[in-house]
Amino acid sequence: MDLSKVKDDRKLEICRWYYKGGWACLPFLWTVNFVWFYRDAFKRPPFEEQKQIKRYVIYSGIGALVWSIALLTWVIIFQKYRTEWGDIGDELTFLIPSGSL
Amino acid sequence: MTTSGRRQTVAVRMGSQQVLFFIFSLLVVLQLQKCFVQSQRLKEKMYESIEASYACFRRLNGTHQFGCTSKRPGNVGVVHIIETQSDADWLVNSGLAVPYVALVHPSMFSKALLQSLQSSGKVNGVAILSNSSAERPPQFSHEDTCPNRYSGLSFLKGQTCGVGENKNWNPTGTSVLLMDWDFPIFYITGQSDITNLHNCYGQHNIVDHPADQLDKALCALELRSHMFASGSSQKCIKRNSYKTLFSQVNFCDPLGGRNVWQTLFPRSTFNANGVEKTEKQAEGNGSIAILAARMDATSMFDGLVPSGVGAATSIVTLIATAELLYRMCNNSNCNNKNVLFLLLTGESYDYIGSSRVVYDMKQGVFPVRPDPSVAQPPPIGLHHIGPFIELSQLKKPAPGQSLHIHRYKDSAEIKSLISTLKRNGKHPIDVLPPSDNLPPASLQTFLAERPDIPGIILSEHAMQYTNSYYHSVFDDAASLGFKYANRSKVPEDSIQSFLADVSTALAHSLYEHVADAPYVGAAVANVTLMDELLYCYLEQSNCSLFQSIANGNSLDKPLSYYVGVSHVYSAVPLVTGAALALLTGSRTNFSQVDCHNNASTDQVYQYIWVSSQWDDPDSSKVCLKTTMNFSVAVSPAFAIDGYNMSSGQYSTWTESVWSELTAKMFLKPSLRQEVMTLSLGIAALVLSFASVFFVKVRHEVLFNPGYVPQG
Repeated sequence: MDLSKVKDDRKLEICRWYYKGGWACLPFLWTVNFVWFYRDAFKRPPFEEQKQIKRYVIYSGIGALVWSIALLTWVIIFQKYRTEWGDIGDELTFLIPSGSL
Repeated sequence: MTTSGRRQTVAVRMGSQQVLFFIFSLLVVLQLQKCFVQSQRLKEKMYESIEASYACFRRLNGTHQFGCTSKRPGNVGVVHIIETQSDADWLVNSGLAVPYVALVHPSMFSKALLQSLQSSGKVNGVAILSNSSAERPPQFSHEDTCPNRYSGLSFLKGQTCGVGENKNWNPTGTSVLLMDWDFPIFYITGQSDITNLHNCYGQHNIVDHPADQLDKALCALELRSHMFASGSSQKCIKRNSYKTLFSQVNFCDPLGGRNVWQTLFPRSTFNANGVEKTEKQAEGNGSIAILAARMDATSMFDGLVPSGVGAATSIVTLIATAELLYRMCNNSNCNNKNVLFLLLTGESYDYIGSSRVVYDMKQGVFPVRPDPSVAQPPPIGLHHIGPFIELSQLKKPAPGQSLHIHRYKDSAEIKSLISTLKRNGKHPIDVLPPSDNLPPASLQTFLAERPDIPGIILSEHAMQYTNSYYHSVFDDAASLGFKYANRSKVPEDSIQSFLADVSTALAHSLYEHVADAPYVGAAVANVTLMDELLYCYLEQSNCSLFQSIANGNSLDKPLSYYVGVSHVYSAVPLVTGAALALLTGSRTNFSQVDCHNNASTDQVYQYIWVSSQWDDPDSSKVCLKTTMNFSVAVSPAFAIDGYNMSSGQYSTWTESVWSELTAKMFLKPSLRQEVMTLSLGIAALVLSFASVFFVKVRHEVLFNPGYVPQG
């Protein structure tokens, strides 16, 4: 979708939907929302729906950031300690590496 | 007319266009095909596949991993041939074109060399170049000095081998087989491949100064033997059970196979008139003698496991003894007691076969699970076992030497068994004093459960193996000194005659057990049969005896004695069982279609469709009735639910799964050339991006827009 051809009220609707959708454990939706509407929220001259869009964009950004920190922490812990956890580590593994622990 | 005439012209023009198009597409296709063929050739030009190669692979037990693996895409290294210690030193100290693949001659292949190569960090793989014409190293055994060190009697009594007296059964053993190597090890036998490797090495890799190797293309080898399993059997068996949509692979399979067993006389839970036998009619304690041998061996390399002294001589002696005993009992009433012929597999890996037999005996399900509605052999318990003779590592002793008898404890029964054997034997037999330190043998598994079994181990060696190729690729016909007589007269001093004499002594002694009286006839073991058996087992599995039982299936390679994984039936138990059945079975009138038993009513006999003459595969086919059958040889560890894999009670050996074992030779460009190629590629990529960007930015200038779209 070419955002430049979409009217502002429709933009607000889309932004709100993306923000709400992100609560269903979909952090990528928040990331996309943040990137996609960043220009409308912060760079464009003020327009009627901008305030609301800005709010959703900020919330989405914070949400995406929290998610990425949490995921990164988990990935580091998992990769570091997977072999030490033994069977539990294997059970949590989706693709078991061949030929190594 | 005119219209139709025009139409015709159009049609003709269309036709010529189609023809042109057809010719054009044909040319394109041909050209493409040519390209394709050329690309194939290019690949073949780059790589020279080494066909006659055998790879070391990974095995695991309950707690550790052993053997070799490559990385998933294979290990690549510059070829370096090690013929002398100075070649090895050059590689470890001076070699600069890392990584290397060391090509080692068998005489140089040792634990110390492998360890120095591994610790140098410069070596990505090792291959043994085995030139058949070259002299064999005096010793080549990579098994432990105490095979099956932790199982058998050792599990009960603690280490029995090599303790205190400092005597190990396998003094030449290096234990390389029982170590974990982080590079692949291959065994190359193809003469042309070996010559090619030597030529390629001589042409490209020999330099005056180590640094010279950096500036030129070098002969290199790619070894692929990536193993899926890791850690231990416990881990990989557990991993086998995690099957997701995207990973359905098996990581490892338990070692195992099938034991072969046969009783001299049929045993049934039913009387001749079809009535179930009473308890009084059942066999008494100690009434079943056992003649046992093992059928398996091992080596480092997949598919290359000969076993002359290790297994073949014992198997053939057992078969010849059974054949003779049947002949002796055919016309006389010697049906007092019975003999169980037991050929066990997986014994090289902590007694897989015998531990399952003992486990099944304790559970009351050996040889078959009891079913009151069927006529079947009644269960044999440990208490039924009488004299137990195990044949282990038989060969013709050196002049002045004799065979040896090993035993655990002394008893009246053992004494009488030994004296019977000595009395019936043509050759002297040396009786060693009773000892806790028994050689590795299946008898140990039985003794661990019932220490008073009157059992002996008959072997060629005394306190140390005389076979310096134990569990290696050199334990074959040549090391045994076997020469096939091929129906001509077998020399008196040959291994065939010797083993035939041993068979005669065994059969006459077992006859005394079954008939309670000495044998007075003149029957002796058939030397021609022994000659054929040895030929079949050691040299050519396409021999007439195996052809007689194979029913058209051809076996064209020498047999490989590795036990294999439990769900694949390996050849040795199959041909051994069939050979026993052929030589001892009784004829029936059944046709090929009816040549089978009805398992729901009668499990006492098996039926087998074979040639009537063992020495003539083309003789008429008959259906033989036999008491020979197979029993499961999978370790109880895999049969018991929730078995503790680190307890050490039962064998926990598994074999890793792999996808390919290949070796390829190619010419590896110098580092400078590789860097140059890569840099050129990257430069071309950057340049193309830059030019596209340039064109995009300047498109109005470059593609002069004569026409400007309105609105």
